Amino acid sequence: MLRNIFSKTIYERRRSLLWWGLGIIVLVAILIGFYPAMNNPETSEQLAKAMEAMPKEMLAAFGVTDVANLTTPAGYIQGRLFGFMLPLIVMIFTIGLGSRLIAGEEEARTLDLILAHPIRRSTIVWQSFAALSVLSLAMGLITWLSLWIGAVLLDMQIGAAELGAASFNMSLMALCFGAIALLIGAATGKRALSMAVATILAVIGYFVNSLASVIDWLEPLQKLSPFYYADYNQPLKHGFHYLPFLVLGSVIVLCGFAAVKLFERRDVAV
Amino acid sequence: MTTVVQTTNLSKTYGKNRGIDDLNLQVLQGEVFGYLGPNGAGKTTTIRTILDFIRPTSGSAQIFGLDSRRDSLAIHQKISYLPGELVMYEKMTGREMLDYFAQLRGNVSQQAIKQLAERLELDLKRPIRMLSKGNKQKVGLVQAFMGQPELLILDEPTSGLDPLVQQTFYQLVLEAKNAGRTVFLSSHVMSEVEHICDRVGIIRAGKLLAIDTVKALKARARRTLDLYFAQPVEPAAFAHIANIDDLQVLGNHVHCAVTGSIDQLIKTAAQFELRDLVSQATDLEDIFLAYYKGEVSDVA
Repeated sequence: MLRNIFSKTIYERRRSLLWWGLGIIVLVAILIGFYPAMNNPETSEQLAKAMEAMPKEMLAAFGVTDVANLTTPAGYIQGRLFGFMLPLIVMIFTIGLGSRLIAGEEEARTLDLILAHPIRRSTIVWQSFAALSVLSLAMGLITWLSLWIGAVLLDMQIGAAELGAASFNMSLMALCFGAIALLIGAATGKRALSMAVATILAVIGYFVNSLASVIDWLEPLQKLSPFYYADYNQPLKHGFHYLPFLVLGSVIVLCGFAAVKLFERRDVAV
Repeated sequence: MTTVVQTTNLSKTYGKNRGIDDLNLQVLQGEVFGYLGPNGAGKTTTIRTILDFIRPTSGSAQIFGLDSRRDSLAIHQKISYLPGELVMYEKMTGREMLDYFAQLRGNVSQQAIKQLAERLELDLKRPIRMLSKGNKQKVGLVQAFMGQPELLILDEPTSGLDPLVQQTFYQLVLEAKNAGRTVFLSSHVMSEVEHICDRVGIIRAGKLLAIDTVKALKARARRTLDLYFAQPVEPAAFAHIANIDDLQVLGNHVHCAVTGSIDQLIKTAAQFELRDLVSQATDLEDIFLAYYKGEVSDVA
């Protein structure tokens, strides 16, 4: 269990993963549980009318882009879960962990003892990235399984592959912000700073993506937002697409290389 | 004698008035080297530079003849380190913590961990957060000694230890020395350094003030002398001696302090009829305090 930094991190975070995972399961259970009520033709008509009366910008900001669609399984799950709540939960987890892994250890002064061992700084960074990736994808896996079980129980017309693609994209996007937090932590050794920068970037990324459809000047910036790729090609309808995997994966790997370079050349815990 | 640690004009500056300045020190294989200085003198900075946690502003450090920066991995395979400010994972037990370090180090026998824990009377089953400062320090000591490294770098190793455990620690250091290992330890307590070290380096405000054997440092110590003569003597008779201060002449009683050799003083005193001579035995503490205050400025 405590063979290296990777396994030690996983082992140490096991309870944290359990609690955050439980949070996802409860959220999915509650929101999926409301689906039959929403699916009732009378309610959905009322809802559609109410929604149409609301400003489009406001709806977009809450992750609702397709009002008419909110009553289909894919539209409902996208609007109510992947649009906002699920990424929020998973990103709190990944950003928190990303800033803790190097900067947190450095501030706590436990990093000194690790560095004194025959272990390269690059190994510390890569094993931290590996642990962060596994734990982020585990959050995606929990999301997928709880959605799938919910969908089967309520007989929602949506496939496991589509749910899996959306869950994977979301955890990859959350990992992306976790990787940014880890990069800034590795580069500066400041935990609060890395958490703040990653969070601000996530907030900006979220609004740029969700408001791009209603605010013209944001549109060219949309492709810079990881949120854009999480929802690229509507995974809940069309399943897996290589592009989000390619783009988000590249960003994560680049963060890793940059973190190694910057961590290797600086003074630790001055 | 092989040189294990060699710093060459090693300097590290950060912020204001901190760091180390043009440090040249040498630690030989198989010796116990005491690195002495008040808090904030630059002891930890030196150690952390040697360990490549921080990088020198100028100069360099060689450990086992290898460059501290370029060959840090090879160096770290042969050393262990006990930080001055020891912080470990609060939720882990002592055993988990030591198992983790053993895995990171490689080549550590469970037997070694068990034996060291027994000698230090450390309960490995308790989580770190439940341990007192002294018991945490014991975990750190087990960690430092368990891998049988060629060089042990110990930053303030006895802080928080009760006297009985300190004795066990001295024994461990002695055993390491007898096995041909090198120990580099820092301290701000003179008495413990005097007790176990072969050579001592004294650092103040980032500068190395003296580096020598305990014996030689003592020989250069400032000591107080009281000389009693048969007849009253003139203060002028002693005024020409360069290495004395605090000269007080009260009739036939001369009191003064001498730094280093007492030869000149004795030869001067021998011109008169000397009835008695009282020399206050110096311990290293006084030398140390003298260096602290900046009273002694010669660099060995």
